[in-house]
Amino acid sequence: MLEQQNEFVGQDADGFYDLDDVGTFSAQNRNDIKAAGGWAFFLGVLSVLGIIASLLSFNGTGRLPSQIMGLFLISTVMTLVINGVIAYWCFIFSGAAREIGRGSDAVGDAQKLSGSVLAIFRIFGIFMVVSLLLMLIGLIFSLTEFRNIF
Amino acid sequence: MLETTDILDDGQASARSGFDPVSISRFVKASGWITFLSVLFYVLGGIFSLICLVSLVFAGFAGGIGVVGVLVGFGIIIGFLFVLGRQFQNLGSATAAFKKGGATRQKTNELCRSLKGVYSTIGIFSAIFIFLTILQLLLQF
Repeated sequence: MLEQQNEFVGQDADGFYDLDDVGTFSAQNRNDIKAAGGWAFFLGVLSVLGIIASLLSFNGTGRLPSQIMGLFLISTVMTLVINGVIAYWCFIFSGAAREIGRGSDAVGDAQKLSGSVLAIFRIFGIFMVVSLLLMLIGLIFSLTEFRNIF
Repeated sequence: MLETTDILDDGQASARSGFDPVSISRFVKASGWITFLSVLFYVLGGIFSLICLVSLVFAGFAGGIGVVGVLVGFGIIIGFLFVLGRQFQNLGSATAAFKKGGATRQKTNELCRSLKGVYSTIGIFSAIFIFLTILQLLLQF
């Protein structure tokens, strides 16, 4: 039973709590969160670069055939939206992680951190499902065309 | 002997690790998506491994340089997918562990470590892919 009690933060071997320790992240936790925030910031910057690249790709699209133009517009708009949302949540995560890394114990920072984790991975999951479905539809169409040729 | 619940209820215990009950419920909600992504990356890794094997057979007929190209190209992608699947699995189990007994020190440690693992893996492989793309562009010119 004692082992189970000692598992909780700030509890010593006798089952007492050190009030200076409770309610905070450990130094290792802060370092880990800070490192994760740094990488999230890098990913946010990459997403912004992806947005710029998508916007630049509109240049010269007037020469494309109308059938391809529709597909191009759908994929570019989808990329823009996904990159924008991921960049936003990555910056929220990195901001909260930076504050926690600096020693913040504010509930708001922990909530921002958890909220951004939920948002990023939910969007990422939905994006993966949609992408795979589109790929599957494309594959089915390609196979149908292939069968028609032969 | 005192029970843990005699000292702290779940909500209080959660607050004592830096994560409040709202944050914990969000992590628990995220755990489903994270586990789904983990399974998806493992499956994609398996599919790419099969494609790699088939490509290796064809590259073997074509010549020696093709085999190296296929191994390097697919090796990076397959490695990325399996490592990412593993990191998501760790994060998924860390977030799902919050469902019972609130946030303990050990669970919080695992969560923070796995968060760093997921973000650093995505970041490192993104950097590698960007470097290879730039290298390819430079070689083309």
